Amino acid sequence: MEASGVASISLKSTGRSRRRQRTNHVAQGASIFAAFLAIGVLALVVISVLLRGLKALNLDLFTKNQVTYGETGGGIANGLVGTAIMVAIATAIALPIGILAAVYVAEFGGNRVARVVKLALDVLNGVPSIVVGIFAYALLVVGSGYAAWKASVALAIVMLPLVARSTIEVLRLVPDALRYGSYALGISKWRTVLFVVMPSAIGSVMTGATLAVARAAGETAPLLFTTSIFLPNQIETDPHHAMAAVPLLILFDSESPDASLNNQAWAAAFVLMIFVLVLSLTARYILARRERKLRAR
Amino acid sequence: MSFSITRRTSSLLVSAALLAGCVAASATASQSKHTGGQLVGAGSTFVQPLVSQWQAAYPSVNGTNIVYQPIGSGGGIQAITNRTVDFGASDAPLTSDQATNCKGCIEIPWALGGTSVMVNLQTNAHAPLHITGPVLARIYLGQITSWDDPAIKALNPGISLPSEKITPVYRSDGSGTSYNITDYLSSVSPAFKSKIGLSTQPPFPVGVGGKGSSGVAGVVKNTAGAIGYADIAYAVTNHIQVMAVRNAAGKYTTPGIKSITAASAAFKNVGTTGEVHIVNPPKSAPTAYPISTYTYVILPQTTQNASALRTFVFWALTKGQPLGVKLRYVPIPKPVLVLAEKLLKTVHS
Repeated sequence: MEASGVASISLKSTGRSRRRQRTNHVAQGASIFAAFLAIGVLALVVISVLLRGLKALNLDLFTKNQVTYGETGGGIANGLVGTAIMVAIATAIALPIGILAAVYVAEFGGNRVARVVKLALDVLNGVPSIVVGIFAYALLVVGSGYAAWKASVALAIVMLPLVARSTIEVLRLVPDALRYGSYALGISKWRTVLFVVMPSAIGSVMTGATLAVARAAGETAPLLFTTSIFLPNQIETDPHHAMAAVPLLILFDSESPDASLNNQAWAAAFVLMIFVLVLSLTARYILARRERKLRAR
Repeated sequence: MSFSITRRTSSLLVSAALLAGCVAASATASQSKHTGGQLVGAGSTFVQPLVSQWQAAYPSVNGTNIVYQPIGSGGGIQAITNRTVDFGASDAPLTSDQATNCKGCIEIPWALGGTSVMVNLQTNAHAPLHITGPVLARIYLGQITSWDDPAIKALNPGISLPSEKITPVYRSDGSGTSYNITDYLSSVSPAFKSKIGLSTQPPFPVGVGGKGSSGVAGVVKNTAGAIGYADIAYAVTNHIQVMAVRNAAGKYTTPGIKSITAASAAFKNVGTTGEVHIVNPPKSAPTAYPISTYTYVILPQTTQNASALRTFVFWALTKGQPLGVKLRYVPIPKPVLVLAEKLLKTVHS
């Protein structure tokens, strides 16, 4: 009797418990699926761009300039140089301003000022890049024409909040003990910031800046408004003239009825994507390692 | 520890800066030939193939680079109005509103070409398919929707036209080519004139859009059953078949040097403003292609680049003209050239 009673207790869950288990399975399954979907989308983008660009992915792509209408072949050399120069100028503008603003917020400004500046930076970060583009167009281009430096100004506006925000976070992680130590030795505040705080944070600041560079390299809208009329078949190095840029060449080549130029657009897209991926993955990796170290102190 | 990291980072930075410097230096070296300035223009995609020829040839003449972006005639007018470029280019003459907004702009005819009717259709025909203006108007009005429509069959006896859907392709951007073809269709079809009329952005009830002449050529090339319009150079360089269009004399012609020349020759009076219409030439020109057009460069009359612009446009009007022949641009005839030069002289700094 007793033995059979024990045997009749099933280990299978029933009723409410079973429903909970089912819900759990469904929810877990859905979130795992969603997680893999995110990876899958990335893989799909990388693979499909690579497959389509493969035909045009050769040395010519990197060494030759665009061709003029009616010719075939050519490459995106002028776009690569243009993007490099314009992003470099944009970095030269955004980096000092962004770091100085961050130093003010993190080291000098009071809490209220810091909140306001941080809010402003976040809002600026949320401004769509096409708005930045049309702003630069109205302010700089109308009446005087296209130029690479104007594109750099627009890109710098995109980069500024990224640089400033990441710098603020990094400076916050520098332990106060370092500052107190410095003050204890009678060193003034500005010297402390410049020679004690900044050196211990500069590596992370630079990786933050690298993320901003990766973002700027792929921006298209600000360029359309500021540098979209450029010499097709020559490398331009004068920032007072408009320069070609990789994102612009992708756009223009993709609209061509010439299939070989379409392939070139895909290849250029692949190059740009890999550049941005590698840059931001490396930066993120280094940033994470540094932050761990700073925290450990 | 922290110091060694810092040093490594800074050495990384230094090497990155050096690399960037090298790239810039080598780029400068490869470009040292270029000494002169730039003239920047934008607009008409109709004229772009010809401007590309000029871009290639002009620097060796004068040392000045011609930078040109084919953004459509509408965009070109906008660009010169905002003075974001040194010159605009449009196949459609400025409207009076546009002329007012442009504040002292002048339009000068600087090229002559034909708008081709491109098709993507497999038939047993060995010669270009025939079409008339009124039938083309009905296609773009959505009244003829299949290639085996009796109206098209009647024009192409002995040709087996497939029962394939017609996909009309039009320009999605403000376009002088759209202006040219609606100018023509309005002049031959009262129904078209009342429903659509002359427009750089005609509100066609059917079809799909393409951005720029390249975009239209691309859509036609990749869409079975498509019909579209663009300067003949686009059909030639992209190997797209064109239709022969019936002119007022009842003859079917395709856009070529002879037929476009005949069209321009049929209009003796060129006026004084620079605006010259040559669509649907009269019966007296039996070889004329009916959808031909002058295309214009738009210059600010007062500009600090006046001398460089005058030199370039004069070169384009004279030495530049023969460079377009292989792309089916006709050198502009004498009376128009005289007018153009007179207008060009009014540009000053």
